Amino acid sequence: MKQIQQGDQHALSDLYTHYGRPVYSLALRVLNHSGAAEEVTQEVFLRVWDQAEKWDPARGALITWLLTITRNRAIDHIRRNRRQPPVSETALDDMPLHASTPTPGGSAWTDGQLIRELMERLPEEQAQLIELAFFGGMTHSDLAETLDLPLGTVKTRLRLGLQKLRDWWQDANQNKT
Amino acid sequence: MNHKTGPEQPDCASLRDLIPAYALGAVDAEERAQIEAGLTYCPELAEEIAAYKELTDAIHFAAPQVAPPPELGARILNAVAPAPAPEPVRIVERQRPALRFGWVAAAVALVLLAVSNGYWLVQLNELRSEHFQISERAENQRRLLDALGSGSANEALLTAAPSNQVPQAVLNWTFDPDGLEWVVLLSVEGLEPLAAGDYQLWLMPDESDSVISAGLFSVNELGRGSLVFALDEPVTAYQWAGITAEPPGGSPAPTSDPLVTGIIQG
Repeated sequence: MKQIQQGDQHALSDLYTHYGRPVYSLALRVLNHSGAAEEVTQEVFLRVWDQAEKWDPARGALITWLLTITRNRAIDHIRRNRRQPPVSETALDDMPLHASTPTPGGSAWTDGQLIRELMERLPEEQAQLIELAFFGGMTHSDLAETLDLPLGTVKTRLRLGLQKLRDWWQDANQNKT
Repeated sequence: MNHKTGPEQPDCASLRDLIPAYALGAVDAEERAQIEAGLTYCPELAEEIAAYKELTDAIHFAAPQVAPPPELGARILNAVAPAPAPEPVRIVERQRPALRFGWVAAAVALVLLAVSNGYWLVQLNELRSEHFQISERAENQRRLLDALGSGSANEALLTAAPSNQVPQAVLNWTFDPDGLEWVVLLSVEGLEPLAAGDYQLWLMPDESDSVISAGLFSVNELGRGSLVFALDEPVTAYQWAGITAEPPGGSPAPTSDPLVTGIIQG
C-alpha cells in the first residue's frame, strides 16, 4: 500500500491481481449485473489509488477494507440508479460459478465457504433477511416494507438468525483450533 | 435548534438486542444513533459489536467467487496511467511549388490538431479520474450530511457562558463506516462576522489540560456558520469544546477567552 501511495502502478496491478476477483464477486452478488459490478470494481480500485493512506492496518485486514468499500459502493450504486435487487429466494449456493480456476487459498475464502454452509442451516426466513440486509443494503424498515412483515417480526428474525450464525461460527472456529 | 436538555440513560439490554443488526448494517438511522450514543454508557456493547463484526467480516467473503472480465484490470490501470505523448507528424514538402504553401499549411494544421487532441486526451483522462473521485466523495458526503442533518445523529449543545442566549453552537456527529472515522458537524449562530481573522473550534480531550484545534470557520452576515471535520474517536471522548476568535489562519493555541463553550455529553 505504501507503494501505491507513492504512485507505483505496478503495485496497483498486483493488488488487482490478488483482490480483483473477490471485489468483483461481491459487487456482482450485490448488483446481479456484470456491467454494474465492473463499474463498482473500477471505482473501488480507483479509490484505493486515490486514498491508499486511509487504510489503517491496525483496524483490520486489507481485503476486509476493500470488501467493505465494495459493498458500500455497490449498495450506493443500487440506490443511485434505483436498481433494487429483486426479492429472491435464491440462496447463495445457487449463484452460478463462471470461474474455472481455483479460488485464492487462505482462511478468508474458507471462511466464506463456511458461512455459506452455515446459512443453509438457518430457517429460510432468517437466511433471507440476512442476505437481503447484507447484500441488498436493506435496513429493518426496508425489509419490513419489502417483505410486508411487521417491523418487530423483522427485528426478531434477523436478531435470532444472526445470533445462531454467530454461535455456529464461533463453534466451528473453536473446533478448528 | 433541537438540543438535549441532559443525558438520558439508555436501556443497555434493548440496545444489545440491536447489535447483531447494527454489525450487519441493517439498523435504521435512529437506531444507529441510539447505539452509538449508548456506547459511552454500556461498555458491553463494544464487545458485542467486535464479536459480531468478526462474523460480518466473514460474510463479505461468502459471495460465490467469479472471475472478472479479462479487460477490466487493463481498464483500471489505464484510468490511472498518464496518457502517452502524441506521435510527432512529419511535414513533407510537395514537388509543386505553386501548391507548397497550401500543403504546408494543411500539414501544420494536422500537427496542431494532433497536439491539441493529445492535450485533450490527457485532460479527458484526468477529468474522468477526477469525476470518479468527485462522484464518490460527493456520494459519501451526501450520505454523511444526510445522517448529520437527519436529527437522529448524536448531538451536544455549546452556549455562550454564562447564559443560554446566543451565540450558540451545536455539535452533531455520526460514524462513517467507509472512512472508519467519526464525522462531526459544528453549526453556529449568533456570532459576529469578523472583519479580519477566523473563528477556531477547540476540543479538550478527557483527562488532559491541553486543547486541540478542530478547524477554522467563518460566519455569514446573519452570524451563522458551520464546520465539518473528522475524528478517530467519538466526540464524547472529549470533555469540552470552545470557540475563539483568532488571527487569519488560526493559532496553535487559543489566544483569547472562548466566545462559546460547553461540556460535551453524548
